[in-house]
Amino acid sequence: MDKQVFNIMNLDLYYGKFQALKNINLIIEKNKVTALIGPSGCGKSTFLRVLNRMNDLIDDCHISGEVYFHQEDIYREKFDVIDLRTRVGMVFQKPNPFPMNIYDNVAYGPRCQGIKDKDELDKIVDNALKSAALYDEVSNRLKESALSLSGGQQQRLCIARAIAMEPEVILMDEPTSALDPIATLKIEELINDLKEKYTIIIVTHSMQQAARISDNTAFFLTGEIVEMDLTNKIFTTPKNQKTEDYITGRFG
Amino acid sequence: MQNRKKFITELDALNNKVLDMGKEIVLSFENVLSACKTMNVSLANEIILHDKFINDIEVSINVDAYLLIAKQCPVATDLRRVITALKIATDLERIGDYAVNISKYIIKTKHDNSQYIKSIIKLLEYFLKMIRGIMDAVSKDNIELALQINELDEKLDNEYKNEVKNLIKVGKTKSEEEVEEAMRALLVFKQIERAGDHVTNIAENIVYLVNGKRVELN
Repeated sequence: MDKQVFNIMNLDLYYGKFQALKNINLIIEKNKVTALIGPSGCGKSTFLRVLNRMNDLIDDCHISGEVYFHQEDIYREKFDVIDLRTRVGMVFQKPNPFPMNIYDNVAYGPRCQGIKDKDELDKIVDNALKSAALYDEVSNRLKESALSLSGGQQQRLCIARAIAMEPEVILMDEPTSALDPIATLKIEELINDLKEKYTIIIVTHSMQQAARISDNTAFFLTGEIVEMDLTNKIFTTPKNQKTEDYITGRFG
Repeated sequence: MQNRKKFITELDALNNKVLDMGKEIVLSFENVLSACKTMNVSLANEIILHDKFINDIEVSINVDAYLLIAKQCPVATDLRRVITALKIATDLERIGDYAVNISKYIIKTKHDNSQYIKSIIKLLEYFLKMIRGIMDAVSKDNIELALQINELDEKLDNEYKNEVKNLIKVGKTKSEEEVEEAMRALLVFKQIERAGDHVTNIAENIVYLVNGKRVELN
């Protein structure tokens, strides 16, 4: 089995003339949670968006270097970006359910892919909601508006929506920063369960969150990776003084 | 959905390691007792080797506790449990060292020590009762049990003092060899007495774990 999901080599990224990522070299391991930490503006969200080519949507953004998803360079010409985004799902900072009922939110992606059979859709929705640890809370109100859910439930619905597409990788951009501490712990617990099936890359402003839930941590600073290692090492004996200063709250 | 499942699992695992370490210590002292009864040198050597294994458990408890603190930021009872695990492991490690010291005594004894070995066995049997009881209290987070066991330490201290008094009498009347043997026995008595003090420390830590209060028990 291929244990590397992403292999990023010599990646530079520019917004116009501003270089947001500098010579990034990184391997993302399968079925692991990789946390990206660093102060605001350090490039961690930009880097996350590189992995499913969300930066394509930004006009003057261009990159050099190679980003391999398994053995394929996702930035080569004629690469199927839609397929990539199916396999690499994403969950955002603010829960963003569609203004429709709970069931339809989860069924939306599979329907777009042409699945019409009701039994099949039911099964996909049930499984996705169960995997997202939301099923028990919503199973008797699937036809209610998703907007009636609490923030934490909405975010788990967004995770269910991503899971319904059967991705390999789930990118999470500060998925708990809009949630209260208990809803946050629920998402963290969920992430821990999800890594059995998925590879997860999470951007977080909370160092404690990175410490609690991730296997590997990359520390970004001004567009560069200062240090990438096992989370156990980063949070006990980081090699780089800048990492030490950041995680101990000396700066940033 | 239970929150922090992973953290709770890790905390339980830490606690279980402390209990395992306690079982190994009890085993060590059971062996020390057997070895003393027959002055069994090969068993004494085994006890010394076994202590390396006990030390490894202590290191592993330290590493786990360190990671839990760094990564999970435990608070309240959870934090006390981590701190207590560290402290109990330190006490158990020290108690293990006393088993080693008594084993060395067995190995190095050259002269007749029959008149002291009975006292050593008596103190050891007493101590075994204490260590078994305190580990039972640890496994149940039980303050009452811990305090009961702690009371036994006073008796152990008194026994120790009596033995020391007896030895002082020996020094006045016997040959150099006999005095040497008496001095060596004295050191063993002291080891067991100190091991009892560590059981008291463990009792103090159980109180701290359960209700957050620091008590001085002896």
